[in-house]
Amino acid sequence: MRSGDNAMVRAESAARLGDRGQAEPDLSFEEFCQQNIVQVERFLSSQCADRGLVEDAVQEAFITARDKWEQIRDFEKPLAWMYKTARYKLLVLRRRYRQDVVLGLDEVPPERLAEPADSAEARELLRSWLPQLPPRQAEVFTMAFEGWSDLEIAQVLGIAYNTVRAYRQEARRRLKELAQQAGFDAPAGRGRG
Amino acid sequence: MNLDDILAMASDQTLSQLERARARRATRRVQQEYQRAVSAGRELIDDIDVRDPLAADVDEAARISRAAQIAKLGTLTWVRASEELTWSDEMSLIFGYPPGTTRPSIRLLTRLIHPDDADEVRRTVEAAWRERTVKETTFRVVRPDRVTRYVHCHVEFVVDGDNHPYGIVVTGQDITEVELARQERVRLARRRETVQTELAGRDPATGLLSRQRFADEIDTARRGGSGVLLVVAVEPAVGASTDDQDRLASAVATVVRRAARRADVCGRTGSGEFGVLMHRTTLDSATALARTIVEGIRNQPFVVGQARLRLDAAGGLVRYQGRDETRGIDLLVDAETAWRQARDSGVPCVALEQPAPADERREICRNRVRAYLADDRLTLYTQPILDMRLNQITRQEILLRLVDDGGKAYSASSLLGDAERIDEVLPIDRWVIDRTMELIARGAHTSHYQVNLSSRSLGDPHLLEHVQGSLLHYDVDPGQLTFEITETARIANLTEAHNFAHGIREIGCQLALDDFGSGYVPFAFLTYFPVDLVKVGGEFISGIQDSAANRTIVRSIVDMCRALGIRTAAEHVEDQVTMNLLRDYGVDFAQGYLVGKPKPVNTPHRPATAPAEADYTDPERALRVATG
Repeated sequence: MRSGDNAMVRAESAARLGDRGQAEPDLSFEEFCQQNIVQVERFLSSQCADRGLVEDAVQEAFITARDKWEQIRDFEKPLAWMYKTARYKLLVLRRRYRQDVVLGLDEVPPERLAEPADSAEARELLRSWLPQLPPRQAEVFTMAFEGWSDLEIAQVLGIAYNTVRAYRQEARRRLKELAQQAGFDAPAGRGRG
Repeated sequence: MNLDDILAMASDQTLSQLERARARRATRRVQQEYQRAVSAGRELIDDIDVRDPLAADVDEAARISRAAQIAKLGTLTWVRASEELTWSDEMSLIFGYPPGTTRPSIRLLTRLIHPDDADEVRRTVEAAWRERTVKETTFRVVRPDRVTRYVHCHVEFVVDGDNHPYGIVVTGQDITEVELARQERVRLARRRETVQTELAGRDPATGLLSRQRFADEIDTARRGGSGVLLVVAVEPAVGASTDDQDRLASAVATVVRRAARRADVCGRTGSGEFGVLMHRTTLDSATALARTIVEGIRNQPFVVGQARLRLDAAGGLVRYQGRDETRGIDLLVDAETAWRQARDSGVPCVALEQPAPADERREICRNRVRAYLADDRLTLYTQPILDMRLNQITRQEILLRLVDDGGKAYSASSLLGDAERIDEVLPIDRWVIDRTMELIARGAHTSHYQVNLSSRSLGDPHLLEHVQGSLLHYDVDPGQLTFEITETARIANLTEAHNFAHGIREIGCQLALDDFGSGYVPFAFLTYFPVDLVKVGGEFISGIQDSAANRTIVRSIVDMCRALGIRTAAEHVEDQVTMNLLRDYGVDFAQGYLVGKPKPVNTPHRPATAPAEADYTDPERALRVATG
């Protein structure tokens, strides 16, 4: 695993992500919600394959954000608080439905998939692999991929800085395996030929 | 394309048209739900932390502990500098102590972790510290009230504000229910691998049901109405080897099955006998079908080895009715009596309107058994047994065969089955004992012989006397003899059998249990019967390479027997891989075609005949089939 990879991907991603994490001054809650709600859903989807549960958790998190918007809008990155709160809401919902502990995921047989044609399909592919990772690793990977720093990730997820680094590498290694099992193992930049 | 390409592609996070529409809808819903909640006076914050997570104000350990507390996870913190150990209230509850009632310490922690898991936990924590990374582990906690719970933990390495090693923070939760569910999934998966969907009891050569299974099928059918049972016997029993016999049986089975209707159940009821169970059929149409089968066999040229041959066949039919009390095995005997009548009178088939009266059936069986003895149509075979320690043949099993009119020998299984059922087996056993003694007296004094005894005879008070008398008469060393018994459930008088077992060992003979594991021998039997040798049922040995279940069972039987001071033998050893496997398990004796096939014994009675091997299956197995 080349250590530069992540830095590069994160830098690129951060450039694309722009300042989405940061609130524009005087941003209305309405605008903030419209800009970020899908993003938060994507984040939770990385650790939970139950779409309905994810949508419910995200909605509850944003309702809470609406209530405390005066406070939250002044945070450096309100999205960080959204992530933290949304994953907490998901945890509560999972406890309620007794799905709170996900351990020893059943092996999903590898499936040879078609090459993604655009970013949406590529994300869909990732979304199918991430829930096969331990949830914490999936979350770390998703945030790192979106361009959050290791420290920010540690703070949002409530884990140690060194843990973030370890999970980031481990998640990438595991994703590479999943990609290879699905037939994506050609050298970079070439077709599967 | 590889992962990097996919990631590069996916990194474009721009929302699609659809997603933007969904974001607008979701936002509207959030606003509506918020208004509704406010007007309903619902508390929206409750335990939500409204601080900015990125505003770093506390050290790492405290930050993790707080997040864990909100997520209702227990935490345990160890600070390197002070060697101090603390745990949260939640963790205290996981450990079985109300918060604040104990002082956390390494010693207490060590006591709480299940002894079998302690090493693994210690290794995990040490590795996390050494490698400065995160580890996870699942272990058992034994609470003060001895209740055991499964706990899953993340073990994290934490640093201080200057990025120097600070300590370890463990976050954990009670996952007992999840762990039990996981273990159950693992168990069920293993069970799926080790259990067969189909009941054993098919003849390996033909794929037809064995005699016992076929008799079960008759009983099942009989309870559900009327029909006709057909048994077709094929003669002569020919062929130089058992393999040839099996090939021939397989060919005949094909003819039988092709003629039978699709719903008819077919079985191999004896070495040269095939049964067809025709449920809900009239005797007339069943007879017509029987003729077709008999003609089919007679007209079909069979090729065995180099030779083309024609077979003769005869059919016996018996009609059964739902209200009959006649058991399946008795109906088989009646159909067999019928095909013998057909053969003797030179017609293709004989059909019985109804089952024979019980006493008549008994009489026919008794006469048949006695006729074999009176006409001296019994003979002995021996099969070599390999001593695995010496890699040398040191024993022979004595096997009983019948001799047909042409002087060919064939399996005694159906005769023994009949004899056992009507309690006429003791004379046969006596005959076998006497001929065996005679054989030993003539043979090498170093060899050891294993003789089968019917479990019915075992309960006979005079059996022991007979053995003693015979030993004396032929001047045989009792140490050269092992008596094999099987089907202990059929022992008529357990007290007598017990007396025999102890008596036979007192005079110096040994005792073996045959077909252990597949017959009806309770484990307890091993503790009150002075058994010297256990023969593992052949069905566990054939195909042991492909069956994890069989390997486990054989290994367990061998281990158990060794601990009890009982030696073990394996039958049906047919290839080297199986032999090596059994040697690894510590099996003492091996028997089967790899070691040697049964061979005729030249008794002074019938020196000329020296009948060729002509039984279709291993006689012991067939006996079980017949009598089980």
